[in-house]
Amino acid sequence: MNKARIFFILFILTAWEIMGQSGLIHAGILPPFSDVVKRFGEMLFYEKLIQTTLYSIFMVLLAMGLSVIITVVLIILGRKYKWVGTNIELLHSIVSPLPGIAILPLVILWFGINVEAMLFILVHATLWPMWRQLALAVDRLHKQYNRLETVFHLSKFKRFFHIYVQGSLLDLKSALSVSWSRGWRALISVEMIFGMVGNQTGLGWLIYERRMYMDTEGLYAGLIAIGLCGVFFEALVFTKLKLGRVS
Amino acid sequence: MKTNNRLSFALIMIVVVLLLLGCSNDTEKETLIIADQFGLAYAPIEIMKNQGFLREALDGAGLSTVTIEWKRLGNTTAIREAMLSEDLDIGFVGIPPFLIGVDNGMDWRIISGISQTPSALIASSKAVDSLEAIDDSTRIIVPQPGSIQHILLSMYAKRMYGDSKKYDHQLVAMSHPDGYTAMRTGASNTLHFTTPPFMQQEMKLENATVLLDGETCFGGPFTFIVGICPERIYDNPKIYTAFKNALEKSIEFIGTYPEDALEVLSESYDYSEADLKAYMDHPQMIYETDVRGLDAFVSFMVEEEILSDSILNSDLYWGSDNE
Repeated sequence: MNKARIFFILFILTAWEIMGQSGLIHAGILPPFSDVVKRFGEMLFYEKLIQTTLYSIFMVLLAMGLSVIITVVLIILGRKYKWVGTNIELLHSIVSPLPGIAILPLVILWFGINVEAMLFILVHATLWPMWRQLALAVDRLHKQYNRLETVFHLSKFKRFFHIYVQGSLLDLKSALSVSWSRGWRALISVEMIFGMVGNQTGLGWLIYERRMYMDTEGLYAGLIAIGLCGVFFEALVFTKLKLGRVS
Repeated sequence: MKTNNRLSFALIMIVVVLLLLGCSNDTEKETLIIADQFGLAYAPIEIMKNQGFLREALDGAGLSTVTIEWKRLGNTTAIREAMLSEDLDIGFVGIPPFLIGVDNGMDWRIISGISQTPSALIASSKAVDSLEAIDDSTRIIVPQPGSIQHILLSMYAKRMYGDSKKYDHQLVAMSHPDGYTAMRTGASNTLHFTTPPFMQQEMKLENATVLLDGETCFGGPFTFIVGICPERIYDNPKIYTAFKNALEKSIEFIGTYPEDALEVLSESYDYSEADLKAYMDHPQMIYETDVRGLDAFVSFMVEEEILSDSILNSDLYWGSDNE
């Protein structure tokens, strides 16, 4: 299985290299793979590729952090006041299908062009999948442990921490993974379409800028960086994340 | 089972190879595809289209079978990419993006200049009255990095502060209409480097102030938009000459029959004739075939390492080697 995968990747890369070197295709469309690797190295060591990547990652993680906090507040309020819960549900079904890009023109009108606007869009992208999953988990836990809570007269804190927080850790893990991928995509497309940046610039802007300067090797290199980050976080960090389990 | 696996594997490989081959396309063309962008700087193309000058010229050259297709693309990069994949034959672009293309191996050159146009960096709030007053939180909207507006701003930064990249971390790339929307919020931290008609529309907003104009950045008049084509069009002298003549005729038309031109443009751009007349009467709005300031753009962009030295030896005009 693994061998086949490696062979497949090698085959694509070789085909790419041969097509690139053959001169059949203009280098502005498909530069040889070796040139892309060279450019990737240059950008890594001399042109702040690492800094740019870290900034993009930081922005998404920051938005996810905010989303976790907002989710917890929403769930607590939703459980405490029935009408809040119903309305969050309604809001979720209206707002969550909207891609971040679709609300960008509105957000610019509300906030102007700044980091807050960017964070707003990222929170929009990451919050809803997270809320959905965790709200369902809490519902499930409530059904499971409802009687236990009443019988043992558990304190509010004990209920919150030992039942709901610990009980939903596995769901949190998959919620984080989903909201990471939504946030990551939103960030890249927001940066690419409107070229919106903070004081630092991210990967979306990087490939946008490379495209404008007709640096096709740099464009491919940026795309590789985006792909690698996606794979790294989705497949490694959030999947392998060791989170405790309630027995 | 094993043979099946091998078979599907081989199939996938074939598909990959075909996909890669699909990147190149060379089809015989009987269509002449021409692309411009949005703005008054492209008015001669509108005239050429409307008055049928190109059709006339092609017919005159015995090319009545060639059909003409007009496209309007969002930015120069789209024009370059379309030309690279041979979906476009003649384009109209700003000088800096044209130079970036030459520097990266595009075989395109200038057919003719078409216009000078006023341009200005506008603030949407009276709180910002000069570029010196802005801080790091200010966002400067330009059509794209490497656009003529971006280079003009870099020229200004270089002259005033010795650092052409001074404002680069504050750039935001948006098309002119999106930039106009952003300016309507009146946020004090938003500036927009734009051209007619957006320039005049923004000036009508409350509190809008002009911080800088294009000629101040450049230090004199310069051509904004040039018409370009790749070698495969130049190598077809009948088409090339027909197009060049039609373009010259269209530019002359605006000068000779301003009233008629106004009527045509007002219809195709959907502005009232009065508004349009005000835009066109701006002293810096000039339609001409001369190309001005090309050398200054080249030397600035080479100096700032946006272009490599090799461009200094490239021919930038078609037909210049015969003259």
